[in-house]
Amino acid sequence: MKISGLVILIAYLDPGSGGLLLQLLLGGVAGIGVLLKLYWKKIRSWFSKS
Amino acid sequence: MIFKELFLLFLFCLWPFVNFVAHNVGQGVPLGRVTAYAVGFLFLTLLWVGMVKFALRQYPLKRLICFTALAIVIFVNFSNISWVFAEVGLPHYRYAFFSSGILLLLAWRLSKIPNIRKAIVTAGIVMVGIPLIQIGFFSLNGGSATLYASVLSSKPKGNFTTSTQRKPNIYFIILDMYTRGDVLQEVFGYDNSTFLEALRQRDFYIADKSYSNYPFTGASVSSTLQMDYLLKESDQELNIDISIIRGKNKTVQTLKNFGYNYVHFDNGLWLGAACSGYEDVCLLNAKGAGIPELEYSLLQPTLFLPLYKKFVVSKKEGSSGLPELTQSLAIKKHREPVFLYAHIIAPHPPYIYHQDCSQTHTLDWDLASRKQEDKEAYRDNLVCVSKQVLSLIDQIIAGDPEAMILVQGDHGTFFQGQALIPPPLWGEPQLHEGYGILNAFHLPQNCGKHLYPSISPVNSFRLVKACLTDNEPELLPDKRIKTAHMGRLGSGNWYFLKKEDEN
Repeated sequence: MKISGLVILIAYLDPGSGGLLLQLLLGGVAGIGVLLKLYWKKIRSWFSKS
Repeated sequence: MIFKELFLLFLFCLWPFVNFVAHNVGQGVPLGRVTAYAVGFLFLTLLWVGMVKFALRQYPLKRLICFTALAIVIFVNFSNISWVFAEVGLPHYRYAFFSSGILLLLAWRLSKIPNIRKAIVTAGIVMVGIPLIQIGFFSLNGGSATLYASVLSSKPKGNFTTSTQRKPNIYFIILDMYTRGDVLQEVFGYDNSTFLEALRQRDFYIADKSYSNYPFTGASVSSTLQMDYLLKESDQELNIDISIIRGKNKTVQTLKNFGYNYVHFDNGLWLGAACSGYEDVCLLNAKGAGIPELEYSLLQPTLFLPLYKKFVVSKKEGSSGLPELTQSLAIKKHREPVFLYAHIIAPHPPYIYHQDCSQTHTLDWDLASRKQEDKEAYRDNLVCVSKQVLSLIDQIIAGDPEAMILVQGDHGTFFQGQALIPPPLWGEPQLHEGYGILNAFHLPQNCGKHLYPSISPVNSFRLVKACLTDNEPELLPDKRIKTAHMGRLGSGNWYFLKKEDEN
């Protein structure tokens, strides 16, 4: 089993870089969801045109 | 309107700090200091927005704030960006700077999209919400401070001394990551016999076959101070309770019951050994060495760490704390009998000394390095620290020749790739290096007879207690516990599985 280099490099406290990335991904998904909702009609109209 | 914009900035400025606290709950992170840094970061961000608005008056404030929120995301993920390039073997800082520039341009374009603010606020709420929930769960579960509550109420056995009998002062010096003489010879090609001989000349017994009981500080020092192995049959897992190392432990409680004055040395670097109210006297090493761990860890994910190291720390002097401790003991007389606990973060990185004790500036807290230059930096740091230890011992013995002095490493070194695999999978050479420690005792003759070459830290204070009560020591078998060390999972604590392999 390999332990992530980012985790093990710091001696005792965890800077939480991996956590930042994970939260960013989840937050990003939520943000994109909101954008999709806001622009849903526009997106649907693009598809219906095509 | 402006409150909505401020809320957005508040969310994104708060995010890295809440994440940091969530990853380190139970590690004794000082919330006041972290909050102060968060407020400072928010203030700097507001200043930045003001300056940008002044320079780019033609753009609406809303757009500038959305851009700033996205820029914060890039800024605090600099180490993640850099890590991606390091993994594929590219010059990671250079590529990370370049990529961050491209991402900033992209953020500028994105900030132009109508309604983007709603999406960014939603993302921000999720990003801050996740670590807040983690902190909430930890608090609801009562934290990690549930272990060992029972030992603190136990009274010491045995009948210590009458009031006329002098109780010896006890000095416990932990030299973090100070390895054994034979390991130094085999792994580093360094002969440490001069230092070891100097200790012997000062009536120290060197347990030259000693291994630590655990391969990492949290477990090793906790076990030493609890005078016992950490996992019991009923335990499924163990979160190390940092308050054990800070003074809420069986050794301190026993000695306090014997009338000892507990003097705790705070090395100014590692929060685990910070003064936190369990001590009678706190000695603080205000100088520290390089970047204190809290600041290092907060800066580590950001763009600031490489800049801070290059422009600020390279001009800063650090100290192991040993000269300051020596000086302090020379000046200040504490109420006797004294139990002094000093956890020195040396020769452990950051490596701050050349062999002649002049300053060097290898300031990373990197335990996993296998680089030859780090190996040499460790050796040089150790040579200087050994000289400083002798000065400290001479200072103690000059005023108090009957003092009990324990000088002990808490674990070995990890230059054979130990950080990449859990201890149960280490081969014998890796175990020998990872657990081999300096273990030296200056004890009165009546109890020094119980010492033997392979005595391990779990027995150190069992022996001291026996000395004080003039009883036979109840020693435990000396074991290297090959805990399935998993790094920091979930709550951010050191995490150990129940199954342990010992030999």
